Amino acid sequence: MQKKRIMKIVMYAFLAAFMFVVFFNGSEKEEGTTMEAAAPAQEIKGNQKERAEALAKKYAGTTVTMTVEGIAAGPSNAFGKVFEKATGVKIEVIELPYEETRSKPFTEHEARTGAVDVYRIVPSWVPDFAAAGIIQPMDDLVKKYIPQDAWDDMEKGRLIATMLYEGKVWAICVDGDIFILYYRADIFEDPQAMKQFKAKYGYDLAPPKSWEQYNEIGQFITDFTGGKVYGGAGNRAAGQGYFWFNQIFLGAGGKLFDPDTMKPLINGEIGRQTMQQLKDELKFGPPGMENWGTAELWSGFVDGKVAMQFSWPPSGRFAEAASGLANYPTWLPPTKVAGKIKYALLPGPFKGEGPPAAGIMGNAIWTLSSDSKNKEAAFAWIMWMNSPEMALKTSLYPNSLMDPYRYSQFDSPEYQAAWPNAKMYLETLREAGKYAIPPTKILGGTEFDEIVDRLITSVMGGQDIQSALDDAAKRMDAVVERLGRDRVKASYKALLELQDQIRQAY
Amino acid sequence: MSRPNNVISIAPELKGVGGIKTWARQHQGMLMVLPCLIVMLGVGIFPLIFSVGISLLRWEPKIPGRPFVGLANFRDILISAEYWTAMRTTAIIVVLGVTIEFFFGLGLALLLTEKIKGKRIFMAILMLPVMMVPVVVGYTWRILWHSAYGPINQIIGWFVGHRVTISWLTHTKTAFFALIVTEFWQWTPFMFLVLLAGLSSVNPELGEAAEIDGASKWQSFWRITIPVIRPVILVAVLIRTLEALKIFDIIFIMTGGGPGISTQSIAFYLYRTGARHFRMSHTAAGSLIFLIIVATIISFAVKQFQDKKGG
Repeated sequence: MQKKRIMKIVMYAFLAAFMFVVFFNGSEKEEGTTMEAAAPAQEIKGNQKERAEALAKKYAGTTVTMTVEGIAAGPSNAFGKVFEKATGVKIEVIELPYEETRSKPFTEHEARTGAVDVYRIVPSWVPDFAAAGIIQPMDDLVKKYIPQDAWDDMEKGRLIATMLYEGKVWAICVDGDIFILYYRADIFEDPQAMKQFKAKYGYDLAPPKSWEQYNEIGQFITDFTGGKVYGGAGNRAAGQGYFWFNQIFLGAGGKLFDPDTMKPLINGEIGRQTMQQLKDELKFGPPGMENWGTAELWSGFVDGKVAMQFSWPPSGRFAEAASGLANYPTWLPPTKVAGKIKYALLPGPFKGEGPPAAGIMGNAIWTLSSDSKNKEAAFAWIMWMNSPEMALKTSLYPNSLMDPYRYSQFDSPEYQAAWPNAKMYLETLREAGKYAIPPTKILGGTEFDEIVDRLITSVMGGQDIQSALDDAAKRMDAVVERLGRDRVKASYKALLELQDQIRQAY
Repeated sequence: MSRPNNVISIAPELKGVGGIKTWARQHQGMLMVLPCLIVMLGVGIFPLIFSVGISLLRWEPKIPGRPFVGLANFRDILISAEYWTAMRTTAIIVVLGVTIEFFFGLGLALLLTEKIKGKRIFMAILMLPVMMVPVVVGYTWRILWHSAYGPINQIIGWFVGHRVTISWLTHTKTAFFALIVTEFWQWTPFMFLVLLAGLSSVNPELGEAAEIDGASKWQSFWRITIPVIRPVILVAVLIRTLEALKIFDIIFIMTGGGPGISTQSIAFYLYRTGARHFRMSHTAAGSLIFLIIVATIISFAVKQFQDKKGG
């Protein structure tokens, strides 16, 4: 009897705890969007870096904690020490796998620990993070501390696509990722190759203006080199394959949804052509390319096995490692293509003439945690790393995955002299900003990207393109329905407005 | 000698202490177990009750509020094609994987009950895979199955006389095959070890007696050895089944649940909805349904075994 009574008491205690946790503690709390009293702006003078240092000095002795993807932690770790020395604010960097840089903020916010001040994320996560109250807008801080000239120094396409959402500044860009084409100039400018190509296709061997040309050039190079160098390659593996789909689909004018009804449009003609393109590239690509991720792509490229590839700007720097930039990652084979690489904008249309397209894909942006207890100190660290001086340093930093996004970086004599073709590299990256395509920066964006990722692996695994697209459209519709059609619609409208803003900016 | 007055005044207190002591003595066993019970309830029962609570709400950070939705999450799971595809995938891996592991494990155990030269070294090598962390196994086999650089394709290439670039992990059938082979490689030694322990406990005199009575080796194995080691077989199969039902690491590393969602197990599905999409209530409901299904199957299997044992 006694034992039963004790068991009952214990069970009741646990049930009471459960009821408390679920129904009381779990209720929505007011989001911590208020900021501590900031120092008056007039006290902070100088350029952006100097202002950041002056602001941070007010919080000397505090620690700013940030999460960052392990592979990209180098600059934060190295320059965090410089920042601490200059300001007295300690920077603690938590290195996480890419997936966890997304899940950790959710769990931290649920627990309201306030343990992390800055989250390094990618733009397409902003709407979900904002909806969940994990991050907060930084408009007030930007207006107060970032000087206009430094703001205007940021390339407009990247600024609009990565930092803004629904009219507010939710993130600060520290990385100018944009997709451009990297190609083997030694093959493209080989007289034999040029002659044979012209004879076969009737136009000059040059960077492609359409995806049809891309395929023809790719096939030609694979045949011309006897398979020693494959014409082109790209990422198809689950995880990041959706960037390649988005680049082609959005670049060709595709829209993920009907903005009025939010009915998915991915299974339309542009979606079908995009999937067909991703499949067609396998014909002249390296064997097993259907399972290639970024590591395979960049390895193949620097190893001299791939003539054309489009991806993030570090590929251009890695290819030139032997030319003076001591920034070579240990996970790549030694480069064999230094001095042989040139750059171009990517095609937009599948056939014929049309404007080029440059996908803003997976940039590193730094966001301010709404639970941060050191918001101004955290913002000082963010704006310090975003300053023109630090942007140049980080984009030239050994093994950095931080790419140029400021006009001062594109124009920097130091950068332009980093390797023989560096000027062309920077000019192409700058030009790409005019044709910038924002990523899937909508509520549920991460789920839509994952659906596209699975669509690609399904087709690579042998599923019929149309049925895979129809499945993807159904899944997307289910996500829209679950998250609320009107909410996602408003979010999608904001994304389309970003695209319009970029067009208007140029 | 008269008793001091203060003794009288503290008497009830002493009585109280004595009462607690007596009570404690009487319930000594219960008190000893209590800390352990509290920890077990805290880490085992409480999360279960908590997830039942979550499953009745709509808890998803991307959607404002956490309203009570009753059984709506369970209904969503029951009509989710993706959930049942994951269930089917898990079932295929469990049935095929555990069956193959069982027969190979039993075969190896039977082989090694005999006196064989180098038996100890062989056993030590055989035990290595089971000691490896599944994530390491996943990465190792991912390289082995790699279409361009993987040794498996290279070895096949030697036999067929030309370069082979089978993309094992990107096609549904070959991906399943690769997963089951990887599972087989890692877990057959476990099955072997448990069954070897069972076989070692079989009294050899039973076999000798059967032989004298004219039983063939097969009859002796089927009628004597198997019934004797039946409890061990049940334990080995149950442990492996329970473990295989939770398969996650190898799928996460090798196929990412793909192509599409074709190799996505239940554990992987729940990870995606919970840790990637933060659909906390949906994930809780999915976990509970899975728990009910697994508990029913396991209870049925144990009951079947007990009935046979009793009969």
